[in-house]
Amino acid sequence: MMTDAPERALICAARQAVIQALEQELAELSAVPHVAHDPSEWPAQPPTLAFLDLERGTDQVRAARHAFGPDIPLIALVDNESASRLIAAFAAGCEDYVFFPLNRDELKLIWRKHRESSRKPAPSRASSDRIALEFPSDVAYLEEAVGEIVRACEEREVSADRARLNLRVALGEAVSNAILYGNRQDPFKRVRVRAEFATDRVAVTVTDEGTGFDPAVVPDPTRPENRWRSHGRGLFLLQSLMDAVEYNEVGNAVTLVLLR
Amino acid sequence: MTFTIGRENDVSVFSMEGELTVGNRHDLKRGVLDAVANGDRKILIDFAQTSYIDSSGLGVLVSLSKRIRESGGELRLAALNEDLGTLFELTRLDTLFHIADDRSAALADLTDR
Repeated sequence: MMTDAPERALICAARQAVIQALEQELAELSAVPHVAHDPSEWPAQPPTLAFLDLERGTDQVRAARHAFGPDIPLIALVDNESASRLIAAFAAGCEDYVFFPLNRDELKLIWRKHRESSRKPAPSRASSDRIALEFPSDVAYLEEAVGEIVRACEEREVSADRARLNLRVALGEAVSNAILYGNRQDPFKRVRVRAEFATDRVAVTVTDEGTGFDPAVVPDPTRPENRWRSHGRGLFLLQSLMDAVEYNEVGNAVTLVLLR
Repeated sequence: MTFTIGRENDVSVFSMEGELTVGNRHDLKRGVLDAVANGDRKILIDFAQTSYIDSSGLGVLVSLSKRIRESGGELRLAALNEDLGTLFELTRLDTLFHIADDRSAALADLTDR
């Protein structure tokens, strides 16, 4: 449902260059920016969405989640090339990111996407135990992203061996496939990893923006005639190490299931 | 991942440190192929400090093994941890490689020849 209320974007940053750039771009999008140098200057009413400059660490992300509730989109503002910071932002509760220096088109897409979602009643983001990560199609993010999910499993007392070997290897292969083959390392395409922790299982879905593939046509790398091939072991490992592997119809999302 | 290259008699020893993955596999490939181009024929890759090799890393080892054999050389792998051993078994790569328990066993095997 449309509303006439002004749409307010909180900019939580200390760097003047970041503040100026965001204020300027958001004004173009008819958003009302509210600049806060630190949490003491946050507004009493939750904003439509909040941009948090990760240069100041991830504590503010948790504080914003606490202050504004589970339904306000928190967008990490991250310097380019900072893989560990980006993944940490998602682990702390951000649900999207923009890179600094800003890309106008990217910012416009993010603003529209989250403004729309904030107008619709959505299932509460706090309703189940899950982690969602999102990052550019660059192998520089691989280790951090996989490490974050494995750490989350260990914290939830998933068997250490199964988290360290089975999930780590299978998830590494799934994310690597998404970056290399799904998105073909296009830096403007993103990879999404969503882990859901239930009492009996962990399910991790990796989604790319590619056109998908047919897993049935991948040859078995353990057959003697295929063993000397230098490619084609990733999917085999993924299927061997997981309790279940499911693909969506298009073939651009794979869900790895590990029973606890 | 980093590696250092040493020499024990006529064996070139690559001591790996860290993970061998899609992000760095080309570094190892280049290092080993340079050694082969310089005439080295006995190559040992020591994984004592390596916790993880992904499928791209396994693929590079397969392609290096082929190249070394084609040059009339020999490749030995040493000191795979339990997880890595499991990956080699699952993919049946344990049937393609000579894998020694540790560096000294691999060196003994290579220098006997």
